[in-house]
Amino acid sequence: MNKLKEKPILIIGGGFSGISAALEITEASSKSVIVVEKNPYIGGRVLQMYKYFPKLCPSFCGFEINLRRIKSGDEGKIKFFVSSEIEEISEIQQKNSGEQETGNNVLSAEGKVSSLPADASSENRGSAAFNANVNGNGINVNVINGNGNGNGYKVKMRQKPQYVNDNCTICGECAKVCPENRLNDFNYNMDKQKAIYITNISAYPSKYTIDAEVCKFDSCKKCESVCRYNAINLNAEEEIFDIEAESIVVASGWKPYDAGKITNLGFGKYKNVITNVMMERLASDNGPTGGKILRPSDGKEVKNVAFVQCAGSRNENHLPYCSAICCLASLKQSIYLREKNPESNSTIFYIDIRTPGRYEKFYNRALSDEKTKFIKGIVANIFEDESSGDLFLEAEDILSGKKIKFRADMVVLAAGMVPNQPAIKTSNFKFDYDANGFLFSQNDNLGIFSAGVAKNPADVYSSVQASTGAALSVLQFSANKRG
Amino acid sequence: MSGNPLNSKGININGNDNNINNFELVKNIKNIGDSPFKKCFQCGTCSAICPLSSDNKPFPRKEMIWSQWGLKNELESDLDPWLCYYCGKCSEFCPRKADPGQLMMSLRRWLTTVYDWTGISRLLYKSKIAEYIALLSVAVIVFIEWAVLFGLTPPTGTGATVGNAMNGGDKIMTINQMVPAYKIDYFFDYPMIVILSALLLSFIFNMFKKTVLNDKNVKIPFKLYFTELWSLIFNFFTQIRFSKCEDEEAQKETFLKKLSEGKYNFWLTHVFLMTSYVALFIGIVVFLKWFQTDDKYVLFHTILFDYYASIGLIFGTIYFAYKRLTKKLERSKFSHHTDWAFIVLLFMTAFTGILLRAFVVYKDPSSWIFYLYLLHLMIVIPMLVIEVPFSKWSHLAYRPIAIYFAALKEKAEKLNGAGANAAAAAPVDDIKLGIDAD
Repeated sequence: MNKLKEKPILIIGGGFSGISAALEITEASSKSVIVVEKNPYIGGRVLQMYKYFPKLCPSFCGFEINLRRIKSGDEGKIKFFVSSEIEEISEIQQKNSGEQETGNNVLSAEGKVSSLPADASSENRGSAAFNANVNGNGINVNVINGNGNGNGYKVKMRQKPQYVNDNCTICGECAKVCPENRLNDFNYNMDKQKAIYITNISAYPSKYTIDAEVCKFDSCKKCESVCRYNAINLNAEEEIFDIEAESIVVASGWKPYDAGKITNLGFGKYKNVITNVMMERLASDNGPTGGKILRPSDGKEVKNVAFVQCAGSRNENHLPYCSAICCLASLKQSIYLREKNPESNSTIFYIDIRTPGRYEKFYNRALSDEKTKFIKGIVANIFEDESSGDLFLEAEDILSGKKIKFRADMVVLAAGMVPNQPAIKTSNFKFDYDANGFLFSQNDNLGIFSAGVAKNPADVYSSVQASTGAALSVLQFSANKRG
Repeated sequence: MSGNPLNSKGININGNDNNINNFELVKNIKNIGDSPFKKCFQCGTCSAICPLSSDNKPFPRKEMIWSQWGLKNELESDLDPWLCYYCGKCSEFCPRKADPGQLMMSLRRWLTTVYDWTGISRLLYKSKIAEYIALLSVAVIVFIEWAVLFGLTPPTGTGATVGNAMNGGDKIMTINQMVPAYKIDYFFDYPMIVILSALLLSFIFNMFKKTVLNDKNVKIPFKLYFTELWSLIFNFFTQIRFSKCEDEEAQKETFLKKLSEGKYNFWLTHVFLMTSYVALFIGIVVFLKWFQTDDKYVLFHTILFDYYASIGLIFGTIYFAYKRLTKKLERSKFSHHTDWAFIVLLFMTAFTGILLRAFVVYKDPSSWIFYLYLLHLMIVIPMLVIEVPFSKWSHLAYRPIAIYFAALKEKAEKLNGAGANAAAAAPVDDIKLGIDAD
């Protein structure tokens, strides 16, 4: 009975950090976790990267290991909800409030073990609907900061319609007949794909997705008729349901800073000014250019690339904090650019290069290349030469004390990381976000922990460490509560 | 002593009376303005975004670090603060919000105190009270001088020389009968102009010494002083650098478009105010007889002078006061007490001057004129004596002169550079000769 009542751990975000935390928790204990991911696939930002620094190995390679761990673990201990977002979380107030005793309408992990991917079984749907009705009745809204009574949390979730079910074999017949196109957001809108699409080569759950904003549904239905596996149901509906969780790990990740806001750097105005995340897609073999670094305006192979550091970061007008990874990311990009296009020159404009600890080696590696130049001085202005599409960068070369005008084929802005801060309604407690939107304080009494960039700007390696830390905190919280 | 070379250079960690790292100076610059320059992390955005700074010696990034470190010698010999017209781009884009534009303003205030060897301007900039006392004491001197010369009540004529004496008894006199223009000239204008010129010229020489003569790297060929003189005059009257306070994108637009968009409003108002001021200053000091006339139907050139200058002063001072109150422009966000003193005194000078003129034209003879004239002098003379050499007004002289000096140095450097290239070959020859001699 006790086991039945044990609530799962809620993990917000199915990126590298969230998955790592989920694995650490389930591998180290008998607990089960629920991972809520807003994208139709798990893996998050790392899947969009071309290579990791400092080893320059492919990013999905690192993520593959996690997928293996998921598959080799006890089935059902990790439950994924993809294409899902959390609407509301509230702290459960009183054990004897009656509402909480209705164990059977609560979607406990025990009752809900089902196979991956996100399930849409009828049983699930039924209980979800039931919970949606109950939701909100028994909650006392008088304690704003939460009292950490350890009763856990009630979570209201919304999953987008799952038009394609697990029968999908990713044969691709549907996309062939699909007449509509959408911008490929995985490639930062640099190319287009069909309205029924597979998000990326290592997509997990491995199935197609339909973009509801582009799909014509009833007036088309070509994909439905061509699918031989009965995997497409264009009448699928959105689902709202409640679950209960013992504690929460926030691993909601980040998005690149909107570089268009840095008006003096011309992103969005000049085609050949791109951001560092776009550079990753340009270099990727499965990216919009098939792995060739070609500049957007004319598809010319780039010869002379300027990397502009601190584009938004360390800037009180934009992001006051250092995003921690951009220096290393640009060094990495400079190194692989030089490898891919041996003719090319790379120039990095910086305030100071931040490569802590053993990463200094990586900096030295970039420094040792004679066609990589480092200029100390932030770029204040970028102008386009209209006829050639080339760009002029204006900066002060601090070391010589002179103003320079630098000409480049393409400019890569090292845009900073902005925490996602999912819009979750919380009625009787608060996520303790800091001024910049990071959830740095680990609120032990409340059982709310954070990992990855939701916690602080970090690279993958430190994110995984934070996830392990969060997993340990979750288990300690659970043990303290019981004891 | 084989100590640390830095110590031998004189960096004193305890921070007292040291000439290289003057920590007192850091405090001074901080107090004289509103720039949090200590926040600067030397990224160079300010220098790169500045539409006015030169490519070879850009500002204000270097001024930021000099101020942080209190490098007195560097700052004293720096002309660049005068070449900045405070468009505010650097402050707008500064990632640390360290407000470099405001620092340049602070440095202009500080440099005014540096050129002034009397130490008076340091007091004026330091304390509001000192400025009030200074203005007041000059006003008192004017008052006493007036009392001695003309008395404290309007003198009354007894003869039936002027106007029709309705009251039979005392007659009110015209302005020139009460206060003869030549007396104003001899007892107020001329002594003042001599003192002011002497002070200001000595300050300018001080500036010349610190910025040009002390710079051992440049030797200015004598001829250049004359060939570059045009830049001094041209910049004095046009303040053309003001109009260049724009980014490259905006510079491509035509003059008329920018004019119609109001991008030149600040500059043109500034030129209007300055020329009005100069016109009136010269007019009053040199041609007082034109203005202080009993003739109601004044000559054309007087009207031109008078009206242009009056409108310029009233409009200009109200415009700048409005900008300083609304604080929308970067350059108007912070106002030092000396900035306000300048605007308010200038406005009051113009206002009492116009009132006096109106009385002369419409009400003369009137005893009001006597008192108004006294009031007018008690404002205009303290303003000139205090503001011209010691305070904000001095920028009218320092700015064009700084441009002139900078042009001299730049030209000389170019000439020297050409010379150095020729000289570079010389040592090789010397060595050869030496070998040959052996």
